[in-house]
Amino acid sequence: MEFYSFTAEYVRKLKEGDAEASRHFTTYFSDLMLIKLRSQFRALDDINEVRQATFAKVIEIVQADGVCQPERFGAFVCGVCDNMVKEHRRRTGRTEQMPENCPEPPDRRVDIERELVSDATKKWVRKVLMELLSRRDRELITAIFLEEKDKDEVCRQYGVPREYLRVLLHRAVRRLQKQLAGERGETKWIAGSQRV
Amino acid sequence: MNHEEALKSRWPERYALEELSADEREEFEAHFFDCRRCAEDVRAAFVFRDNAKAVLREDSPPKPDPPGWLDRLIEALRQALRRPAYALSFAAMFLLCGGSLLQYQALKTAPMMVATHVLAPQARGEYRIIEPTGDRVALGPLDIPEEVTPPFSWEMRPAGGTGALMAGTAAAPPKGSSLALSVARSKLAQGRYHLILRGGSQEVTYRFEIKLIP
Ligand SMILES: [Zn+2]
Repeated sequence: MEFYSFTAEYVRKLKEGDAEASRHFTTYFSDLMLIKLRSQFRALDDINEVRQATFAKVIEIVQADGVCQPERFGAFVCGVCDNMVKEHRRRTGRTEQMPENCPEPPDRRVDIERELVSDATKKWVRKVLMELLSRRDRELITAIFLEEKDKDEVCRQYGVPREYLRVLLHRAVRRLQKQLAGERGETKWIAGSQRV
Repeated sequence: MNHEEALKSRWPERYALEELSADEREEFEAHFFDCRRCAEDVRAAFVFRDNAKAVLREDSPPKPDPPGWLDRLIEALRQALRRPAYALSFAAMFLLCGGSLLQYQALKTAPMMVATHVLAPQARGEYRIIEPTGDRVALGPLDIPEEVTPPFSWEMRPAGGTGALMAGTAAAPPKGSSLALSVARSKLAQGRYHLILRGGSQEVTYRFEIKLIP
């Protein structure tokens, strides 16, 4: 993920349809909205509709010079996204989130969970899981992410505090980032590109 | 919220582990949409989580059915059929939960694909042991006493608890079919549960215990 600082300059470039700023805008917020919306929708179609509506609305406001605090552009997009969720629920007649205790319809979450998965990333995640984590940590990750077991129950079973799961995730993510950074460096050298 | 607070309290990890309340989630989302460092941490955590799940799923051998589950099923059925008060039929399955039609079809056309768990009213203190194997658990067919008549309402509670974990209603099953409740395995932690079925001002309690295979 590439980063820009949100500034008046960024918003101006977006308004002018600058290719680089537009590309950053869509890729950066596309993933963040996917992550935000997965706790609210069970179907990828709903998420995609809300994402598209948010992009369209934000661009409309940018064109009309309606962004008051360019340095808080991210929070602004987040707010527009919330409004688009409400709009989508009104339009589809689904006013409430699915209650927690409702038995699920056929599981469509799998589609959402595939969005951030790629063969290249799986290769590095497999390395982190199999070579860089202990057997117990791998079992903990299997229990909470794959088997979706109750986290308190898992912690009791393995005799670790809840904080340990956060530390474990933090450590695993850092190791993955290190692997991916190494790979990106290699690509950068071969391609001779200046972009990080 | 500022970035230092977010890092100190491990909000990115807690967000990815789904530990935040709705209000906290909202507050943190407004922050990480603006904060590129938290955005990267959150994204990386979800990338790890989803890819790890895919890798672990690919690498784990398919779990065999627990030995003899079919034998236990047949035995339970035979016992149920011996008691004329309980009408039970395997002609078709009718699932209790909403959106059940698809699953009903799937069960009908591929009855061996879903492990079913026959439930009969158990005496107080006795629990039917269920070892889930797939993503969903089919509780049933339910052995329903004649005096409990459709339409049904049902609720599931943890044994000893008073609050319902889930609840719903079911219309009369089609003729010759029996009733089962399909629940996502992720909704059932290891432990004991009561499934209470009401109908015709009568009720029946099915007691079962979820045991997760290590
Ligand atoms: Zn931050």
